[in-house]
This record gives sequence, C-alpha cells and structure tokens, in this order.
Amino acid sequence: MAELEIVAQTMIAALMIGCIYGALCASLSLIFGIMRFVNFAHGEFMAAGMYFSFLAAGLLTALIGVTPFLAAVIAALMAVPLFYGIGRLLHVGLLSRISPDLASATSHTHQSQLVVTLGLSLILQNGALLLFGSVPRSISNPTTTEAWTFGSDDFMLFINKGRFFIAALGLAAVVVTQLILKRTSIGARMRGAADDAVAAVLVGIETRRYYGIAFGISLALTAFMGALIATYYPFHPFVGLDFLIIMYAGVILGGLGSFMGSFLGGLLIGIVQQASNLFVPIQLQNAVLFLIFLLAIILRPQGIFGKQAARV
Amino acid sequence: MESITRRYFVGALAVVGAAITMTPAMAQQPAELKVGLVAPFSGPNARSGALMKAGAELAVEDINAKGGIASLNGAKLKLVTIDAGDSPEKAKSAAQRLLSQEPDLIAGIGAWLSSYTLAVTEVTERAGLPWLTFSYSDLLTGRGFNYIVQTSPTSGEIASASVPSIMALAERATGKRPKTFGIVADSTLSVQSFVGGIKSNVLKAQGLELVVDETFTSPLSDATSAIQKVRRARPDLLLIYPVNVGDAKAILEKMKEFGIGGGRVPVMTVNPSNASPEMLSNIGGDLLQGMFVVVGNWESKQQAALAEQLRRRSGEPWVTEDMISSYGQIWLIKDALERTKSADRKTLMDAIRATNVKNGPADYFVGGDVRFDKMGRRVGAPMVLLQWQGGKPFTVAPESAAMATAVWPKSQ
Repeated sequence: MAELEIVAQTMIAALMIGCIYGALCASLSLIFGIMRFVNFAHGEFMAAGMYFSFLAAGLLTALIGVTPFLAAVIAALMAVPLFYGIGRLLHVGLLSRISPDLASATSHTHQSQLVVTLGLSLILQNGALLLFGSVPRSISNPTTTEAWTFGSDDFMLFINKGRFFIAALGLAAVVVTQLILKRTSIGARMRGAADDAVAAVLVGIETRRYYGIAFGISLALTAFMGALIATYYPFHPFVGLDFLIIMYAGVILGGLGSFMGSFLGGLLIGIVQQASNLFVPIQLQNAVLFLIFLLAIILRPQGIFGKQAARV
Repeated sequence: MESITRRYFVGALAVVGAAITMTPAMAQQPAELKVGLVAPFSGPNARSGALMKAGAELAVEDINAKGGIASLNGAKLKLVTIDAGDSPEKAKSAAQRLLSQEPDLIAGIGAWLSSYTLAVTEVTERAGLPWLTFSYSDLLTGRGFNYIVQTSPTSGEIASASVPSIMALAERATGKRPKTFGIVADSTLSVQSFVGGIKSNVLKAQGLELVVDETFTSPLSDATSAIQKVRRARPDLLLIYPVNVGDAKAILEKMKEFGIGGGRVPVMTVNPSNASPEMLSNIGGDLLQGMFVVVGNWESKQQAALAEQLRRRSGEPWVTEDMISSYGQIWLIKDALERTKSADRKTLMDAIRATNVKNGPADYFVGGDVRFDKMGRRVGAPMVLLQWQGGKPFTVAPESAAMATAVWPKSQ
C-alpha cells in the first residue's frame, strides 16, 4: 500500500509539474519552431513576468484587497498584452534584423542570434539586479501549502491547490494558443510562414510581420507562466537559468516546429523528472532526464512528436 | 602678449609652489593595502555574497576611520570584490582574474559555499595569498595548504556537536530521547561533508536509527518525493539541509501541506542562509517557527552593541554569519598587519596563523577566543545553535552567547 501511495503521489506531482514545464516549452517553440530563432533570453522574459507579477499582485492586493493568489492570476492576465507588445517592439527594433529571412536571399546564422540574445539576457539579468537586488522574492500565499486530500492515513493522496491551478491555467493557455494557431487566419499565416516562407511570400503573406506576432505571443505566454510560477517558486534576477535548459530540452524532445509536441515534450520531462525518483535517488533525477533526452536525440532526432519534413 | 606672459608666469609659480608644498605631504600618504573578497554576487546565492560584502565594507570603513594600519604609517585598507558566480569553476576563474588584475593584493576572504572556497583556494594557495574563510568543509584545511585559515568550526566539528546538543534539548523538554532520524539534504560538497559526518560518527553514538535519507540537487523542482517518505517514516528529528531559499521553501511548504509541519516533525538545519532575512520574507514566520539552525558564528549576547550598530548601518533586520564573520575577518587581517608591521604575504600569513586574541577582533566570533592550529583551523571554535522564534533566529547555544531560551517544538 505504501509503494502504491508513493507511485500515485509522485505521478500527481509529475503531471502538475509537467503541465507547467509543457506550457513554458510550448512558448519557446513558437520562437524556435516558427521563426527558427535561437532565443537564450527566454528564461529572462519568464523572470520579467515573475517580477511584473510581484509588483502588480502587490498593488492589486493593496488596492482592491484580493487574495495574493488571485492577484497573481490577474497580474498574469495583465502580463499577456503587455509582454505581447514588448515582444512585437523587440522584434521590430532588434530581432527582425537578425532573424533568418527564409523568403529572401539574406540569411542570418544562429551565431548572431545567440550573441544578441545572450546579450539581451545579460541586460535583463543585471537590470533586474539593479532594480530589485539579489534578494529572492516570492508572492506568499496560502495555496502553496494547501491541498485536497483523498483517502485515510494508510493511503492518503494530496493535490496541492496552488500547483493544480497553475497547471490548469498553463494547460488552458496552451489550448487557447493552439486554437489561435489552428483556427484563425493569423494562425494559418504564421504556420504558413513557418512551413515554407518562400511560398508564404508568393501568396502575399508578410512573413516578418507574422514572425513578430509569433514572438509577441511567445513572450506573452512565457510571462503569463512566469507570473503564475512566482506564486510558489522564489525568484531572483538569475532564475531564468533554472528553467531555460528544461525549456530547450522539452522543445527538442517534443519536436522542433511542433507547438503541441513541445507541450507534450515538457510534460514528458516533468513526468520523467519526478517518476525517476521512484527508481533512483533524487539527486540523479536530472541525470535520468538528460539520459532519456540523449536517447531520444539518437533514436528519433526529429523529436518524439516532430515530423521529419519539418526539419528539411 | 605681455599680460599673457605675466599671467602664465604667475600661474606657473602657483603650480610650482603647490607642487613644492604638496610633494612631502604626498610622499607621506600611506600606501593602500588591498584585501580581496570573492563571493557570489550573481546566481542563486547572490544574497549571501551581498551580506558578506556589507560586513567587509563596514570593517574597512571602521578601520580606515580609526587611522588605518598604525604600524604601517596609517596605511588604509581597500576592499576589492569579485563575483564567484554560481559554480566552483566560475569561482576559480574569478580568483584567477582577481590575482591577475590586482597583483598587489595582500590577503583575501571568501568564497561562501565550501565548493567555491575549495576552488578559489587552489588558486590563492599557489599564489601564496593569505586566505580567511568561514566555509565549513573539513577538506578546506585538510589538504595541507599553508595559506588558509578557517574561522568557523568545520563541518565535522559542527556535525559532532549539533545533533547531541539538540538531542539533549529534546530530552530536557520531553523526557524522551529521539530514536529515529531523517535527512533531506542538498548534494553540494559542504552539505555532504556534514551529512557524512552525521552518518559515520553521530547516529550510532547517539543511538539514532536513520529512517529517511534523501539527497537532492538544487534547484529542487518539487519536494513531494522526499517529503512523502518523511511523512511515512515520521522521524523524531529531521535534518533538512538546503543551501538556498527556494529549496528551503519547497521543503517546508511541502511538510505543511502533508500535515507534518509546525513542529509535528521537529526540524534542524545548517547554514546561515537558512536563518537569513529572506527566509522570513519568502517562507513566513509560521513555517519557520521552532526550526533549529546550526551555524558557525552569529549575533551573540557579547556582541549585542556591535550587532546593533551593524544592523543600523547595513539596514539589515539582523546580523547574519555572512556579515559578522566577514567583518571580523577583516579585523583579524588588521590585527596581523599591526603585529607583523609588513604587508608581505608570507609574513602576513605567518602572523594570521599565529593569532592569539581573546578580545578586539575575537569579539566578532562566538566563543571570543581566536587561535589557529597547524592546519589553520580555529581552536575550540564553538558550534552556534539558533532557533526561529517569532519570526527571528535567536542564538540559543552555547549558553554563554545565548540571546533566547530554546523551546522544543510541540508535537501535535
């Protein structure tokens, strides 16, 4: 009974963590998949969402008296248009100059993207250090220690309320983004620009504009998740690094260019990371994770849910 | 033209006159003595580095305000800081950069986490730079290095002293000795050094059975797995040893969620970061209430006046080991410089190792007696036990330094 309880409890935690990782991976895949753009500042945009949430939630709690968790959810929703706008501006002013222009003769290497986004990440990290200092912050709220419980003392399962809501909101955000990609004309054009930029230009799609929209949506989704994660994960100016490797691993594992594939890649990472605790000591959980990652790259280089054609 | 010439003449005369009068004064200006500080100013432990810097800067300010190093014509100290980053590799490269950029350094302190200090002192030992640290790992002074001293007790010493001290407290409060023990600890060197000491020397001697033994690598994405094992085993005493606030929060919140927080399973931990002001702001006083924290130095009864002054000047709500030890270490360097009357690194190191003080710089270290053995370890350095009470960590042992009485958490 004890073993069953441990397995069930681990899987509950794994699914919730997996949904959170999945939403972050999906946000990165919009940049990596649609724009073919390597963004090493993605973790810092998530951190920016955390700091925004910290400030906005503090204000909302003080002004209208909502609970800190609800304030963080409202802040997360407010972060969506704000970071979408920041994303569009950044793309127009900076990143479009080094984005691969698949429809024209000019091509930019990933090296220039790497250098520029690493620079951007250093600016964001040190800017946060200047503005907020190195003190770790968090949005203290009771949901992080509250759980729904099932069963009796012999077999008891806990579902953490805060994590559950964040995972559910992350899943909902991914579904909404997927609907935008699949069901709207903007989404169809973005997919067109991603699949074949030359053909997209020939049928009158302004690829740069849609890359900008993809970048904006990506930042909005990252900041949305960052604003929610801030309710349980203490953050500091360098917190983005804690998540960046997981994000890239999820995108590659799920399949380059596949939005839902990246979500599932992140979900799988969460499950492997937590489920590995059942078989190996906790300190080896990331070793198991990257072992699976390496195996996946060797056996299925296009990613578990990716298509071979997407990489041609 | 004539007037310009005259003006030039008068100006030139003034410059020459000033130069003549200033030259002897400048020649008497005491030299600047540079002391290095390698600490994490970025990454998850940046806050600890900031506290170390605050302590070291205040000491340099105080020493210079009192006339600098009297035996060296009032030479002023200058603190040179460099970021150790978030890994031993970065810390080592920081030490290399520091030494190449500042070849005239006379001594240094740092680098907070033992694994960083081990890497940094590989470099400083080769350069023959005197190094003072409050990192705990026994390895630091167990490698036969000549240019290092540890001002805090070592991990082994802390491990041997801490559990018996808490066991005795439990027995006094409840009439029963704890029989089972649990460990949830980070995988870094200093932590494992401590945990190793507990497992090999302490548990058997104290008649404790180890019922949970979990090691994690930071950052801890979720504490469910480890804390579920604690919930099932219900140890009489649990050692948690995270080295950053995020991991501590994950563990303590999961304990509350699983119904074993608030003293139901008494918790002890180690490391000044677990008694820092950020623990309170991120985790909250309720979850921390009753938790014991073992450190190597802290604000004590003897240092009440100094601590009040440091609190006021630094703006921190209380003085942590990072701050007070860094403050004290700069004063130990000053003391050695006064005795040796030389800034030569080897002579200075010999003087630091020969330190034997019971007051002055010793006031900044609990125990109030600073001497070093042949290995560079502080002789008789006491373990300091803190307890979170009402949203603040108070020194509760040793008794001579205690600022509050320890209270055993009530099992409910």
